[in-house]
Amino acid sequence: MTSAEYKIRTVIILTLLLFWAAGAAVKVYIYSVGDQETLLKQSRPIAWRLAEIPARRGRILSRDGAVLAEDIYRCDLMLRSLPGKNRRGENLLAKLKANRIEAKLPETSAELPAVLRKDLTPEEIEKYTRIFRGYPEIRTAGRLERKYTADPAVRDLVGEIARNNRQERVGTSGLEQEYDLDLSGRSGQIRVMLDRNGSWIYETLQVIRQPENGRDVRLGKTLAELKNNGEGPRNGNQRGMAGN
Amino acid sequence: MNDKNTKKQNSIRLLIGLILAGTAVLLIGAGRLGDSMITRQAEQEAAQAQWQTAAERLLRNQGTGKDLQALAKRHPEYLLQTMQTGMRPERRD
Repeated sequence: MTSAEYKIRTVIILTLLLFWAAGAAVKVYIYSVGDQETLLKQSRPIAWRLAEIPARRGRILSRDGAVLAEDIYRCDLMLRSLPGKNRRGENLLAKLKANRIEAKLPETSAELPAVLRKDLTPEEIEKYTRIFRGYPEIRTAGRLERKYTADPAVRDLVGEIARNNRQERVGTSGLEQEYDLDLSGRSGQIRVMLDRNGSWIYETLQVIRQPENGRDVRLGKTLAELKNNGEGPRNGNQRGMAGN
Repeated sequence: MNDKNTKKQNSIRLLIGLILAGTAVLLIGAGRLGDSMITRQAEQEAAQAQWQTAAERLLRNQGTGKDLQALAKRHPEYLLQTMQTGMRPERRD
């Protein structure tokens, strides 16, 4: 190869490389500047999720501080869908077996969602959240359970709650209904990014709106008075402390 | 001979200049990266404080369960994950 030919080849290769670099630079510019907003907008529904965090319902207390109704946090291990018949599904089954949970697996999807383990301890919540991260079929599902006083006479006065069509808990009878506005809080809102398995990427978790707990209601009668006279607490009641 | 020496000196100067310029660019880049990492860390700490507040509110007046309070301090994100409902894609126009 002569020196002139060598030079020509070098120039051709360098020119091609230059065009490639220029093309790549243009693409990078388009993605990162020109189309950035559009691409981000497209990515949001794919990866970003919004969800609600419920607020605690306020407590109902007698004048002497006895708790007549309160929310208790409980958490269960739930199966939302059956493991697939692939390697991932087999891995999940192996994990369930290692934790002695597989025996409770339902056979058909008609029985879903199924509770695999009820009332988890804090250690179990931590353990299972870690173990089953990456498996959206399994979820540690918390709930706020309304716990009432054991005394049947007072229990009747306190009343009941139920879920409305927006899945909010509202008082439907007794004091729960009478003081519903005070007792009900306002749910919070979070935003989080999911990975390709549908698992939370914790580093991206943002609390957009803090939940505002309902206020406690303190009645104007003591527990003994409430037990002894069943005339209804309406006249003797007074509202109590705020709470968040 | 003198010409050759001068050319060599010029090349060395150019090389030193390029090395200095490269170092300066690297230092500026590292500084910026450091700043953005500090900002990111501050944002992450603020976000974690928010998670903790939300988790503590979730467990307010929960008489029993100091372990649960400890979990809320250690991993508030786990508790928030257990309680989330109505998860839906984010829509921003």
